[in-house]
Amino acid sequence: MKILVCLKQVIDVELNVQLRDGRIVEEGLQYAMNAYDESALEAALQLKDKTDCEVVVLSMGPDRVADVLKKALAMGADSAVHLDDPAVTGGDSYATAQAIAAYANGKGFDLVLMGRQAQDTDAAGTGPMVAEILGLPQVTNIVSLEQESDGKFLTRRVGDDGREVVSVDAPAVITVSNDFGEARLPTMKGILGAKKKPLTVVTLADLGLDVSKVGAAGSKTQVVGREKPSGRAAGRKLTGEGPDLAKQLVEYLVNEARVLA
Amino acid sequence: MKVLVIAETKQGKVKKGTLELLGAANAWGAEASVLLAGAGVAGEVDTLGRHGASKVYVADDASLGMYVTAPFAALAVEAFKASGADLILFADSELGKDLGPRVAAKLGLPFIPGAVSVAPEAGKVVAKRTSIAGKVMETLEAPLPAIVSLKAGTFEPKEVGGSAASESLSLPQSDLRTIVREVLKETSERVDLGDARIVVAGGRSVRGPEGAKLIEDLADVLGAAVGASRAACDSGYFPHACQVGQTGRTVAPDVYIAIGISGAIQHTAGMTGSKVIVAINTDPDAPIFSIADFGIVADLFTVVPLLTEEFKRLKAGNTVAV
Ligand SMILES: Cc1cc2nc3c(=O)[nH]c(=O)nc-3n(C[C@H](O)[C@H](O)[C@H](O)COP(=O)(O)OP(=O)(O)OC[C@H]3O[C@@H](n4cnc5c(N)ncnc54)[C@H](O)[C@@H]3O)c2cc1C
Ligand SMILES: Nc1ncnc2c1ncn2[C@@H]1O[C@H](COP(=O)(O)O)[C@@H](O)[C@H]1O
Repeated sequence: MKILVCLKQVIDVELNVQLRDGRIVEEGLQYAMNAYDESALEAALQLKDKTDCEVVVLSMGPDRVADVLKKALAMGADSAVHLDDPAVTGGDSYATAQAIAAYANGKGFDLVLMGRQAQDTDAAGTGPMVAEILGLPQVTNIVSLEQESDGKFLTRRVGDDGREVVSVDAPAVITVSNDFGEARLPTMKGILGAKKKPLTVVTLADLGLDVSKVGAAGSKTQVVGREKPSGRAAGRKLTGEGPDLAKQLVEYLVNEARVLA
Repeated sequence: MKVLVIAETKQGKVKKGTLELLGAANAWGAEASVLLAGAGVAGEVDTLGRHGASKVYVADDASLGMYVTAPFAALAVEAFKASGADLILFADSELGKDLGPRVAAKLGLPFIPGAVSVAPEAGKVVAKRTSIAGKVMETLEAPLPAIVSLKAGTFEPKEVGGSAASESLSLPQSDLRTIVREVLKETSERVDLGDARIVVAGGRSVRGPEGAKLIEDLADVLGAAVGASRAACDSGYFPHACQVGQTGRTVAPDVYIAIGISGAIQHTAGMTGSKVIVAINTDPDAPIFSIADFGIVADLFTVVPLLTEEFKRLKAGNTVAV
């Protein structure tokens, strides 16, 4: 079995984000593997633990994305591909999906595993778009994955009304929730072994994809501004004895905020 | 301006999120049509009409009882073509997240996910949405026709008293590559998290089934839905379908009561649209207090049962509030 896992390097969302002229200030940012993609990789590696399976990881972006690829190799992926082309930056989900689909197309992957969303875009758009471009079935937001004896994949996904048990034929595109579970840590042996694994750099030209299809040029939506959200102000904060606090809250909700009819 | 709303139903009833989308079309003075797909849903045409839909494209069939991407995507494309819509609206639900981008790629249309404000203009749509777990507000533009999904609570449902014409869509060819074998019944009979006017949410510090029960008891006396933090779901105190936040659901009830929840950005990303936020936490410096309208610094094990009693008394007509 052959699996492609798409890994995005994202800015560390716990750190302070500064804006200048509607752009995110790059200085002082730190980067990490998108948490959802880490779960996608873990899902692939769990299949690899059980069956004969080749796991290829793909990341698009500038030189620094090699860090997430190396981490993935150390965690257990077999080979890594860095789609390194200045044209891919600034793309929306649609443009990103074009590039990922162009890479995945025709390479015989049984599964394309992706994060259900990127922690920075919060878009959750790329997975279903890749599936559509490749003409494959999709299952999104999964929290478990196994292969059945007939080759189908059995997943559990979190839907609006609870967890759903969904089976899907290969090849398929599956997006993974970070509730899939903690990803394994790279071991010392893994880190050393990673150095011998292939990390290939490819360009759009290698994929036969025109620059107009990706990045800002290939995007169907444009970001025209960024600002800090106005946010909510803190209200009152009470301390005291339980019974009195309970009474005060009821009084507030009923008579002041008037939200309990 | 023509808007196509993709409806969502539960047990044959249209969800509040769908009525909010009609509320949006209504606020813009747009002509609204709806795709209503499901099993045993045709009776909802009236409700949709009363909320401002003029046309409802109905696909009512047992095979559509559980949501699967392929047939719903095919129906959305058919409804889009039949309606001539400038804008397709989805709720930013799990269904919207699964279907919206798929349909966008199918039709080659721009997709703006999770908008918190939308203004259609001549030939284009301008929308605001948050990124980076709520830390940045982006303004996006896209040419029409376009697809936008709206976060819960962005618009209000409004009864305008109209009626809708309905038209049946033919069923799409079946695609058996994806099969929903079952939906695990984990959520209780309580009101749906997305539809609830009140949400009572518990965090890691409920510490076990007894603590979780305190949250559920308070929810029940208030007729509220139960929400939870990721830590509480991971610990097994609440099912994952209760999770509120970046990975979980986005909710915008009238009242959100966060109990023993620290207020990590990934949690608040799912509930800052609530009208009133109440927080109960032993740590006076917990970040949740910085967004709470009403904060109580106290042990949940003491104060939650007292609150439940207080609301019970209130309900019994024995008003304690002055
Ligand atoms: C990519 C990503 C996505 C995520 N998505 C989500 C999401 O969708 N939803 C979500 O919730 N989290 C999400 N998280 C996790 C999030 O970062 C936090 O870890 C989580 O919200 C913490 O849950 P908590 O507040 O219950 O636990 P804690 O942070 O441990 O907080 C417990 C709180 O309880 C208080 N407390 C302790 N004892 C008591 C008592 N007796 N009475 C009252 N208060 C008490 C403490 O003071 C503390 O503030 C995500 C994280 C990542 C990385
Ligand atoms: N630059 C990238 N390189 C590799 N994969 C990506 C990239 N951008 C997005 N993805 C994949 O698409 C998923 C969803 O992204 P988004 O649509 O932005 O939420 C991510 O979790 C990744 O799996």
